[in-house]
This record gives sequence, structure tokens and C-alpha cells, in this order.
Amino acid sequence: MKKEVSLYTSTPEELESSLEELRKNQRKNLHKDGNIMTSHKGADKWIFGVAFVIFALQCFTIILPFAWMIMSSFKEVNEYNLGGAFSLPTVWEFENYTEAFQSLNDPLTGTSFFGLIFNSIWYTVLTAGMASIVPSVTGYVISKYRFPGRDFIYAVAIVALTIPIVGSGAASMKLWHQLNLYDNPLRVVVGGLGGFGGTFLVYYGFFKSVSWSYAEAAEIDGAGPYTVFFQIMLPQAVPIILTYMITGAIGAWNEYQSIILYQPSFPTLASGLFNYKSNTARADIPVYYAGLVISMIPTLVLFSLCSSKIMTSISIGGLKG
Amino acid sequence: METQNPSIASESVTAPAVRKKKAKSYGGKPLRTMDKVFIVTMLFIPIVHFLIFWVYVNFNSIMMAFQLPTGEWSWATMESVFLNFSEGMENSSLLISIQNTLIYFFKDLLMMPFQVLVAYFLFRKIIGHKAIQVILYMPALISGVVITSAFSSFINPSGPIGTLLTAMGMEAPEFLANSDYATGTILFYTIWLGWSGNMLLLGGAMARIPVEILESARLDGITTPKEIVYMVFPLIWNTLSTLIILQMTGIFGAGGPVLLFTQGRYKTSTIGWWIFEKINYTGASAYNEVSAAGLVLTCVGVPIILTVRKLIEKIPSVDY
Repeated sequence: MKKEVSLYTSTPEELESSLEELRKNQRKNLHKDGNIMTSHKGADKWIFGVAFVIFALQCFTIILPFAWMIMSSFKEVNEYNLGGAFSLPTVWEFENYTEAFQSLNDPLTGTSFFGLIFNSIWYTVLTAGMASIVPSVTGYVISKYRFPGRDFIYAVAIVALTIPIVGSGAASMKLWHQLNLYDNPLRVVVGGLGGFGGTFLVYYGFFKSVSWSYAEAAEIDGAGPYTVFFQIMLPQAVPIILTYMITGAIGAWNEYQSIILYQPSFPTLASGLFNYKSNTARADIPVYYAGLVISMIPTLVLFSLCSSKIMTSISIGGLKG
Repeated sequence: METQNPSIASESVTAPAVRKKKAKSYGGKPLRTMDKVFIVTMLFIPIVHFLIFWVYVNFNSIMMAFQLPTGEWSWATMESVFLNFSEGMENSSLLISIQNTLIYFFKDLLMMPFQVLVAYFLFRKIIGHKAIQVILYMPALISGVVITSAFSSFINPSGPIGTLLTAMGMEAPEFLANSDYATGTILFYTIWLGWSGNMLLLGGAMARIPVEILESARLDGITTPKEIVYMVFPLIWNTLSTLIILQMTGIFGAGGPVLLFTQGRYKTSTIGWWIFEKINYTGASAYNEVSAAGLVLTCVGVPIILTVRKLIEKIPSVDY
């Protein structure tokens, strides 16, 4: 028979265990599976039901234009031009995809489709690599060392991030010309050497939370500051580096505006396909769509391989300071 | 009588003085020469980069606002900007750009609570949340060139939407080639794809909320709307306030993919497009005009942004 619990006669342990049992029963009553995140009861069911319908409609409308574009990329050009927006291709023209590799190019520079892919690759690797690594250096040094000017550098980095200076693009363009880096692949490297900005804050916060005892242990074994950083501290930031690398790679692969502005002679897939559509009078639209579909593949593959990493590891704190 | 440990007493007297004078590593030790070399070598390039590409560029941008393209000092550049303002909304490309930019900015601001809701339902694992998350994130994965091509073809008079409208006996307008519809269409496009904006950051902030807090509130009978307003909003305020500040900072950068849709025609220009168009198509002769317009907008924007930032910082964030 179960012992009765009384506030006056029971021991604190008995009271605590009884309270825990009470909480467990309440939880069980509230959520059948005991998981607050997935279980919805009463009015919640309606709220989540309505939200689900809205989400489903939104997802459907996002997928629809892409599905239509992919379907149209298999149409023969005359069939596409004749209309029949909802009809499936009478003959599925898989050749449109091989044709895309052969005939799509950047008409402004004459860069072939393969050339566009090549430019996309080096631009993506350089941009994503530098944007994810360089701020880790500044973030680490400023968070882990106290030296004259450290607080000033941090304050300036915050101010630069929060004060909007409009129209400096013109002065920036003038500078690239003066440095002979306009329309020069080296611009990507020089531009990537900036160690401040939003990414710096994330690394700053991360390294601040990493215990210095790792470094002290390594220093006892004779490690210098470079070894401590590259072999002890930086490997701990690999999840953040990878996240920035992946998101940076996706962004760089899809970038078109800065390519058109700063490196017109080195068009990437995104900017080259935009130039093709804008400057070709009688563009073969299904072949153009096939080119667009091809350009989507690398980022979709990268995302499908790393989706859990992208979806879980980015966070930002405050900008106070 | 209480005796004082002499070693502690002497430390308490001397330590603050030492702390002020000597630079230290995080562990509290004074910096060695090799540490100093490390700091200098690691920070040298980023600091020089910052001085050139932020300090010099912005300083030069201010200077250029008071110069002619020839480099001669003159008020003429600034006057031409004010002349552009005085041309009125019908003729001033700059005023149209500012108006459109502010519309996009307020739309972005108004969408933030909805983005929090999206993140909340995904955080609460709504049915199919994984698939929904991936599909909503898709626009961030795919180039704007692809998405805008698919969208503009889809709403074209010969595309599915146009065909549907014609079948219903309605006129199928050129949504992106008509001043009455173009800005509204681009605005719709940004709203359509903007639900998932900041999804990862907001989702990350919610994921850090201790489940026990939500659970105990549930045991006390809190409803979903109250949970969102009284629990989730305050607990993610640190992230949300940062996003609002960043949004404010980008006030004059707000806009849609004008280059891809209309290239600024049909009164769709935004400040971002106006600057791009001047730099890319007009070239060096327009650099000074861009700098002058930028300076005027910066002078208007900075006080507003700093005030909003101060107000936001007054709202206390919750530490947990």
C-alpha cells in the first residue's frame, strides 16, 4: 500500500519524490507522449492546424514556379512559344540540357558555359574560404588578449556595423580603379582580407566562451601563441567555420550584382545567365531554363549534404557596446 | 581583533596598478614578446584593410560629395542633388527611389513579427516541419537570377497566371512592364519569399530557450498565443533586437531584385538600384553625385538609427 505523504510527518526526500511524481502525472495529462514540443491539445490543435494549412499553401506556391520552369526546360522551343502554359511537353527534349552546355554563354564577354562554371567555382572557393577564416583570427585575438587599443578596436568594429553610410560604393569603385584591381580576380582576395563585420562578432562571442585552460595546458607543453591558435583554438571553431563556409559558398555561387559591377570580364553562372537573357534578342527559353536548372544543382546538392549543419548552428547576440 | 593576511593585503593594494599598466592574455598573465608579435601579425592586415576600405573609402566619399568629377572643390555636386529633390515625385529619380526604398523598409519591419511566428511554429515542430523548413529556405539556396526568371515567366501574360486570368475572362496585364503594377509586383515577390527571412537566426534563438521554462508555463495553463507574447518574445529579445538594429542600419539598402526584374524602369527604382545604375552604367562622371546623395541620406538616417537603437537598448533582455 502506498504511504501517505504529509507536510508535517514526511521527510523532505519523501515530499520531493511525491512532488516529482505529481509533476510527472501532470505532464502525462498535458502531453500524451510527454514531449511539450510536439504535442498539441485543445485550442492548440486549431492554431497548429490553421498554421499548417498556411504553411502548406506557401510551400506549394514556392515549388510551383520551379516545377513549371523545370517542366518547360524539357519543351521544344516552338512548343514553348506557342503557349499551352499548363501542358506537359509533347516530346521531352532532354537535348536542351546538352544544348545549354554548348550554346549558352555570356554574350558581353563571349565566355562559354564551361567558362562561367569555372569562374563560379574559383569565385565561390575564394569568397567563402576567406569570409569564414579571416574573421576568426580577429575574433580570437580581440577576445583572448588584453592589449592597448583592444577595446577601441572592438568599439569601432561595432560602430562600423551599426552606422549606415550610404553611397560609399562610388568611392569604393574609384579605389578599386586606383589600385588596378577593378575587373581583376585579385580583387576577391584583397576584398576578403577584411576581418571585421558580423562574422567577427560571432567568432568573438565564440572564442570568449572557450576556456583559456586549453591554451595554458598547451603552453606548459611548450606551445607558442601560433600553435595555440592554429592547433588548439581554431579546431574548436570548426563547426562555425563550416557553417559560414557552406552559407558563404551558397551566397557566392548565387551572387550576380557585385560580379556585374566589379568583375564584368569574369562572369559567373549567375551573372552570365542574366547577361544572356538581357542581351540575346531571340533567346531559346527552354534551353535558358535548362541552364538555370543546371546552375541550381551545386547549391541544392551542398544544402542536402549539409542541411542539418546550416539549420542549427548560427546564432547572434546583442550589439550593445 | 581580526588579523589581516599580509600577502592578501599587499596584493589588494598593488594588483589594480599592475592591471592598468600591463597588457595581459586571457589567462591573466602579462603578454610575452611572442604574444605581442602574434597580436601584431594577426591584426596587421585586417586593421590596414579596415583603414583603407572603411575609413578611407568613407572619408573619401564625404570629400567627393563636395568635388566635381575633375577633383575640383565645388558645391555644384551637392546642389545638383538638392535640385533632383526639388524636381518633385514625378520627375525626380532620386525621390522615387527614396519613396520605394522606404516602402520596402517598412514592409521588412512589419514582416518581422510574422518571421518570428514562422520560426515559432517550426520550433514547436508543426507537422511536416522539416520539409516546410527546407522549402521555405529554398529561395536562399537558389540564385535570384533563377527565382526571378521562374517568377516573371510564371506571371507573364503567356505564362500560367496570364493564361488563367484570360480563361477567367480577365485581362492579363504585364505585371512587370507597367508603372501601375511593377513596384507592387516586386513588393509582392519580396513578401512571398520573405516569410522565411531570419528563420535560422530566430530558430537558433528559440532552440536555446530551456524547455523546462516552457514546460512549467504549460503546466500553469499558458496558451499558445500567450506563450508567444509573454515567453518567446522576451526570451529571444536579445537576438530580435539585434536583427531590428541591423534592419535599421540597412534602411537605405532595402529593396527587391530591381536589376533582375525591371532594371529600374516603370518607377521601380530604389536607392540601391539608383546607386548601382549610376556607378555601373553612367560611370565615373556620376561618382560624385552618388557620394553627395549618400551623404545627405546618411545625415538623415544616422540620428534616426541611433535614436531607435537607444530605445531598443532600454528594453531589458532576459538572461538564461
